[in-house]
Amino acid sequence: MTGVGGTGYALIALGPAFSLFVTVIASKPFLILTVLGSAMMWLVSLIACAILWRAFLPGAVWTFLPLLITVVGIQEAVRLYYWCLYLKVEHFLNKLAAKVSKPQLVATDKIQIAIASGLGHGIAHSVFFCLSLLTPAFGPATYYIDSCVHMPLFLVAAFMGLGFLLLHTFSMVIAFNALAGDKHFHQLFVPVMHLCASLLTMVNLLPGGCIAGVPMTLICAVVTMAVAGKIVWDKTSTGSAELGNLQRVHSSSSL
Amino acid sequence: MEKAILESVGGEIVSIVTPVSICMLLVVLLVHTLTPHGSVVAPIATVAMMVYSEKPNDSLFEKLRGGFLNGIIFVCIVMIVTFVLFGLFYFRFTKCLRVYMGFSAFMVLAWMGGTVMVELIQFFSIPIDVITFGICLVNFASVGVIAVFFCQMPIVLTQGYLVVIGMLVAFWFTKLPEWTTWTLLISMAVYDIMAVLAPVGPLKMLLELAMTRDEEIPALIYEARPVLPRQMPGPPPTSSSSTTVQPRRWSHLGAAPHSLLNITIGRGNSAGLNVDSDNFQTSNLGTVGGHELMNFVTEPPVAPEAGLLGSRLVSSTEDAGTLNSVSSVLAGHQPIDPNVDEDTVPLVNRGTRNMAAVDRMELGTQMQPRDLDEDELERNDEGFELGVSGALKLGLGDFVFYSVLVGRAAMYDLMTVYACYLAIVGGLGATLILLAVWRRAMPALPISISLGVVFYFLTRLIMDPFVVDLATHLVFF
Repeated sequence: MTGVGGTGYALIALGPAFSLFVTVIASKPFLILTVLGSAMMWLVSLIACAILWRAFLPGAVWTFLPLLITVVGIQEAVRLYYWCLYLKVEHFLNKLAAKVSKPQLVATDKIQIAIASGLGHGIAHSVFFCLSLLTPAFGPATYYIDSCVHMPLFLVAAFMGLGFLLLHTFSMVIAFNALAGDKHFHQLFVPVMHLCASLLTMVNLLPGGCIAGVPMTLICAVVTMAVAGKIVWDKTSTGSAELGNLQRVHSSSSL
Repeated sequence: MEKAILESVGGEIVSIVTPVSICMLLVVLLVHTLTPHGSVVAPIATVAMMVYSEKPNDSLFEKLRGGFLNGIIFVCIVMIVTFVLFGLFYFRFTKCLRVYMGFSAFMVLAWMGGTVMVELIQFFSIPIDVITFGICLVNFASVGVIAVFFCQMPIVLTQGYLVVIGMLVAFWFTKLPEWTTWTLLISMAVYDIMAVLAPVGPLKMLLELAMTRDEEIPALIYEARPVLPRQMPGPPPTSSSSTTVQPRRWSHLGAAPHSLLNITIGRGNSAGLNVDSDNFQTSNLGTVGGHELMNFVTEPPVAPEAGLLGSRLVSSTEDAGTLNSVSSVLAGHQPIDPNVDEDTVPLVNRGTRNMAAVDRMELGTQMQPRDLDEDELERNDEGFELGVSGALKLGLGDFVFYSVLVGRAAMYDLMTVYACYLAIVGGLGATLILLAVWRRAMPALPISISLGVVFYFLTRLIMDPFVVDLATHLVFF
């Protein structure tokens, strides 16, 4: 639907990511590198899934169920591996900070790194699943698929991309916090929510299913955002005993 | 208020990744606009296709074999030309080099740039007449040549023109047929390893010669500015004060005993910042100044290509930037603090010795690791030579070949573009980390190109059908 439509779809899918990037990430080079690194890791996991399932596609509709379960399993395993890598990087950064006489990593730094990692995953997901479909959207026509005659394919893909971007970003925050503090509920929450969101997208396979599928994905994303927000709120409130936070507060107020 | 470590780590890497990304983006946009899908692009007659000219009807084996031959011939020509230019540099034909460089850059900007502009004008139907276009083009090319070679202009302008030159050359390369492009990229990656790391490699010899003479390398090099600005302790050295203040261009970390015994008086580090180390006319050290463009012959006499001499990565680890810190943590010794040696006047011939001495005095570091480190370095004949300017340098040839890969990926689909982009940036990051660890000039092509090629074929053959199938059924994960 010409340039305006195409740009609109792209902004629906990537607008929040762009604003998150500009406000949180762009000022810190390390976070930019984190975004690129985690995007690359997500891409590698996607290629692994593709190699696994390439032979079975395009296949019958029911193949999507085991596909989604295995693929979500692979991605959660990659998230755990990413967490192990993050521990090494954190150790390295703290050592570096000690050498150049700078403060160690505090809670807000760690949350920012978690947001950057999640954003990398989310942006990679949006780009590969949504943006690469959008090239025809810049042309003069639009496209509807059979099972969804209510909304153009591009619009549905943009909304789903948005939902999954938010889901990936904030579930990484929850996962980092849970794995650091060994909180089992949150550790389970992340893979379960991911799996639920994926399985709910299968509703789109039914005729007219996208009317239900899109809001459900967005609801999952909002729930994840709420949980992550609560965690961050608890961590950065004055009740937390993070010495680094107090130091920061003191030194910023002394200026 | 103390700044967190997160604010400064990684700055140099981002300052190199950003222009590479911009160049790739511009090439993708150009390719996407000017090469509609499914159109047959008439292959241009270049030396890269001397042996085999690809036709769509040939079998796969023919195409592979022909592309492979083309790649070998291209690498041989590049090697010969690099040796010729090394010879010119060795015998100090600096004027010749400078004139040649300027002429090549002007040809790239005027002729290739003009062709691309004409195609864009045709595509967008911009109403512009020939005379205006001619004047603008000549001015654009002239300013570009001056900005890159002769005058010191705002760094953004120089960097911008370098990116534009890289983009134009890369766009030209994307007009080659498909299999030839892939074999060319792989051949160049292999050649790059050999040229930079092998003892008889032309690039390695050139680099060592430049460091021995303490002159600029004659090549088109993109230099990122240092991230942490530092104050200049005095006015920038001009040619009038050249007798006393000789800022060193390269610092020797643990030079072998037989290397040069210059007395280095002056501020080693500060040479680089506001006085650009590619500051040609005021250079005290008899800078070559000229930049080399590899040149291959086509029907018109000169079709310059970007400096393949530049296909290696040189960096400074003298400031407290990321790479210095990374390498110091990995090696387990204190990073060199730049603020310390602003005032030092090292009067001996070993750069590290001075800084080590200063470090001991000012920073009170442990003696032991430093001693061991120096001993190790001294035993090494090669000597890790590093730029003093405090900036990462990436040769323009690397820009060109990365953009060629991504441009060729753009001719298939945008998904391959994203995959190749991530692969190339990942490879570049890995190369920079290796640079920090090994502290010597690294070839920037091999890791990125090999990752890029692997990811391209994996994406195109395996991932693309998978993702498109899922997405068109609106099943996401």
